[in-house]
Amino acid sequence: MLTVNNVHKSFGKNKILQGVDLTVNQGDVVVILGPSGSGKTTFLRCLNFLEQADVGTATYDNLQIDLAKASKKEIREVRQKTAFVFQNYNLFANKTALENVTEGLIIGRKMAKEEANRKAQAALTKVGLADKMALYPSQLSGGQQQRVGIARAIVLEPSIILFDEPTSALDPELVGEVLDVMKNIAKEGTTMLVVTHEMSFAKEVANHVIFMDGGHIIEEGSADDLFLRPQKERTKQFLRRVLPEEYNFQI
Amino acid sequence: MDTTFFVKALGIAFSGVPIALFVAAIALIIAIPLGFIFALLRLQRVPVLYQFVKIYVSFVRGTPIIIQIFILYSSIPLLLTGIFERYNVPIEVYTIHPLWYAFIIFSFNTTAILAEVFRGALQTVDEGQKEAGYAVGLTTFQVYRRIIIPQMLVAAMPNLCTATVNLIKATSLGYAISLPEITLRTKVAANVGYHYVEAYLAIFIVYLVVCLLVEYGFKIMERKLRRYEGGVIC
Ligand SMILES: Nc1ncnc2c1ncn2[C@@H]1O[C@H](COP(=O)(O)OP(=O)(O)OP(=O)(O)O)[C@@H](O)[C@H]1O
Ligand SMILES: [Mg+2]
Repeated sequence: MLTVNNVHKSFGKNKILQGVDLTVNQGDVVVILGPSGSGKTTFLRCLNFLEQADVGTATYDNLQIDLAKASKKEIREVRQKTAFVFQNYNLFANKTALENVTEGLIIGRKMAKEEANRKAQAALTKVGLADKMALYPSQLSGGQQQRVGIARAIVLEPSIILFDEPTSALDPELVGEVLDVMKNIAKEGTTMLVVTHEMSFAKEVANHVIFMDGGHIIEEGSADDLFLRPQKERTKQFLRRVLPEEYNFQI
Repeated sequence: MDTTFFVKALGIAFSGVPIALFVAAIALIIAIPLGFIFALLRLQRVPVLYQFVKIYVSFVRGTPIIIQIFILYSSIPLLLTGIFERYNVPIEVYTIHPLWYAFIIFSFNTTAILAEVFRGALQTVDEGQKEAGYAVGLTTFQVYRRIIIPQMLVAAMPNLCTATVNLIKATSLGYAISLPEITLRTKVAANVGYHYVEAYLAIFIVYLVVCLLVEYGFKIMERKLRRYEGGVIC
C-alpha cells in the first residue's frame, strides 16, 4: 500500500532523517517508537507534504512520488490518499464537530452536502460522538476533540491514516477512549501508521513495530520480536526506559 | 451660549456625517484587502515587498496624519500634472474634488494601520489550523478563506473597531483639504457670528454619537463572529 524509500530531511545543519525506509501493507497497523527528537513527527509530516523531504521516494497504492520534488497536483493526490491525526488535534476552531468532518468532503472532494453530512454523522457515531455533532471544539474535552480528529480522518476513506502521537496531549484518564476508537478502526482493516508512546497499543494492535533513533530505523519487527527479543543495544536502552517493569520481568 | 445657533449647528454638523462616513467607508474598502495582503507579505517575509511594507508602516505610524495629509495633498497634484501632461489627459489637476484626495489619503493611512492589525491577528491563528486544512485536501486559498480568515477576523475585531473609530475621527482633518465634512461645514457656519463654542460643542456631540454607534455595531458583529469560542462573551 505504502512503500517509502531513503527519506532524508535536514533543518539547517541538523540532519533529522537519514535514509528512512518503510513498507506498509494493506490493513497493517505499523507503530513507530523512538525517543523524543528522533524524527518521528518529521517523517510522518514528509509523507503528506506538511514538510518537504530533501531526498526520498514513496509509492501510495500505485502512485509513485518523488518526495523531494512533487508537483502541486501530486501533492494534492497524495493528500487525497492519506489522512493525518495531529498530536494537538488541530480541529478547525471556527467549525462545529460535524463541520470539521464534512469540510474535507465538501470543499476538498466537492461532495454534495447531504451525502457529506450523512457520512460525517456515521463517522462521528462510530467514534461515539453522535450527541456532540453541533458543538464547537472549545466545547469538547481533549479526548472528544481527538475523536473528532479521527472521524475527520476516517470519513475521507484514505488508503492510510497517519497518527502523530494522538494521545500524548491528553489527560491520562482520556487516553483510553481515544485508544479504544483507534483499536476499533484498526480491527475494521484500516491501514494505519502510528507514532505513539502507548506501549499497550503497540503490543495489542500493531503487526509491525519500528524503533527509530537519530533519524535512522534502528530495528523493526513484530511487537513480540521488538519487545521480547530486541537485538540492538539502543532498542534495549529505550525499552528499559519506557517499559521498566515488563522489561525487567522478561529478562 | 446661543441655543438657537447650537441647534442649527447640530443640524449642520449632522449634514456632514454622510461625507465623513463615505470617506471612511471607501478607505476601509480599500484598506481591508490591501492591509491583509500587506500583512501576509510581512509574515511570509516576501523579499523586497516585505521591506517595503515595513518602511511604509513605520512611516505612517511614526508621523502625524496631518503631516501625511499635507505631504500627499501637495505631492499628488505634482505627480498627476506630470502624468497628465505626458499622456495628454485633458484634466486640470486643480479642479479635482477634495473627496478624491480624501480617499487616497485615508486609504494610505488606514492600509498601514490595518496591515499591523491583521499581522497581529494572523499570528494568533495556530499554524496547525493551516496544516489540518491541507491534510483534508484544501488548497491554500480555501484554507485562508474558510479557516484562517474567519478566525483572524475575530481576533482582529477589537483593533479593527479602534482603527475604524480613529479613521472616522481623523476625517475631521479633511478641513485641511477643504473637504466639506462635519468639522469644516460647522466651522464655516460658526465664522459668521463667532459662535465657536456652540459649533465645537455640536461637532463634539456628533462625533461622539457616530463613534458610539459604530462601536456598538462592532460589538454586535464581534459577538456573532465569536459564537464558536463557546462560553460567555461580555
Ligand atoms: N520546523 C523545524 N525547524 C527546525 N527544526 C525542527 C523543525 N521541526 C522539527 N525540528 C527538529 O527536528 C528534530 C526532530 O523532531 P521531531 O518532531 O521529528 O521528533 P519526534 O521524534 O517527533 O520527537 P517527539 O517524540 O518529541 O515528538 C528535533 O530536534 C526538532 O527540534
Ligand atoms: Mg513528535
